[in-house]
Amino acid sequence: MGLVFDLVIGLSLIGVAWSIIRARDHFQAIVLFITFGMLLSLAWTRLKSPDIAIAEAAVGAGLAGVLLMDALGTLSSSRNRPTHGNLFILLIPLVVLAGLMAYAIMFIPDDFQGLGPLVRKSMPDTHLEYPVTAVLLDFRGYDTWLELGVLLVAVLGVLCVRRASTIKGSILPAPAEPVGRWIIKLLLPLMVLIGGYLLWLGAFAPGGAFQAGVVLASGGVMLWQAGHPSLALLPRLWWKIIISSGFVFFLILASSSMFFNDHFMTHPEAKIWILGLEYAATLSIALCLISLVLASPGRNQGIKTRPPKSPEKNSCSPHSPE
Amino acid sequence: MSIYEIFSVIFCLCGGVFFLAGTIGLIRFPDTYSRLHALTKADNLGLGFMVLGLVFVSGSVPEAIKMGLIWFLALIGSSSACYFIGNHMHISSQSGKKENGPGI
Repeated sequence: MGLVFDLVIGLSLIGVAWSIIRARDHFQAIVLFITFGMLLSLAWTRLKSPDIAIAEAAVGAGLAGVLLMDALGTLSSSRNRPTHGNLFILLIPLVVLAGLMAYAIMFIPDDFQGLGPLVRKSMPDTHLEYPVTAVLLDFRGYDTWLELGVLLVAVLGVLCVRRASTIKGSILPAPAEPVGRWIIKLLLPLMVLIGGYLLWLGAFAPGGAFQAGVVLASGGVMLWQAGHPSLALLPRLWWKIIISSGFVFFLILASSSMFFNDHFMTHPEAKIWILGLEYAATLSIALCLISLVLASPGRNQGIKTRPPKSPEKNSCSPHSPE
Repeated sequence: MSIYEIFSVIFCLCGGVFFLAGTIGLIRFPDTYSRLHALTKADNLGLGFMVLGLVFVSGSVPEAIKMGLIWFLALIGSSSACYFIGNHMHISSQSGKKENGPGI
């Protein structure tokens, strides 16, 4: 039964990926991409990786979908069908990639057990109870640190394209909208609660800074969509501090450990530091993602004339000429 | 097979039937308004039946509460999304623009 389910998921993944390439227009391609993200998160669940499944569903299908819809609203002239003339050129990297993957899979030794046993053996060295969080924040802290940096650079890049120094100018609240406000009142406390829950859960179960940050970020995007001005009230200095807090706190912690024991990127002994790091990372991830959505080009013009809408419906509105 | 499992299977099958009906409606209905109808009513009922079925076999009370919360959130999400899409359609049809629903 499990095999049938896996086969259905795998085949539909390939089918959806193929339809993304063959999609009639960009809107359909984006909707299919969101579908692809949801299916992929199901596949991760089947592979017993709930952490990646949550992250994939929230980022790959949720926020990436919103960002792509935004981009589509900006590129409003792209109604025509994407050209399919050079699809055969894609065949070469496809075959190379498939060959490499087949090669990699075929030469996995029979007694290979992955990195699981190694992590489990090293768990006493860290002060965390959950192996995934231990890998992310302790054993492979470098990766997480650089990921926070990538997010920060992405926000700075968007601001450069917009020629703005902060997102503040772009937060023009959408028109007040009774249903939107009602949903905000109902959902936002729940989102903050779930974000905090996921963050706390990261110490001993699937969850953690990234998932919590994404939940908070979607709450922020909803707040903006419902025309609530509270995000615009955030002072510029605080915005700068929070947006860089994850990266900076990680760096400070990593370098301060050089004074105590002579290794870069090792944590002090107390769990409180890792907890602080998680909180800082969550806040900065949330604000980075909100800024990415709010500061994306196309938001700055014609916002007041647009009818109110939910994030999913951005692309359907006619984009006003700039 | 205990009585709980039998109930669970029955409710989950009911949910599956509603999901199927909703999906067929989504594909077959002619315009966006009636598609919304299929999507938000039938699917929510289907999800409700699924949750009810899974509550019977859930191991603990917190688990059951969490699943109920998921259904509640899905209800809010889909009904408000339905409102937004319908409202958008209404406004754009009033302002004289012809918009086709997403053709999927």
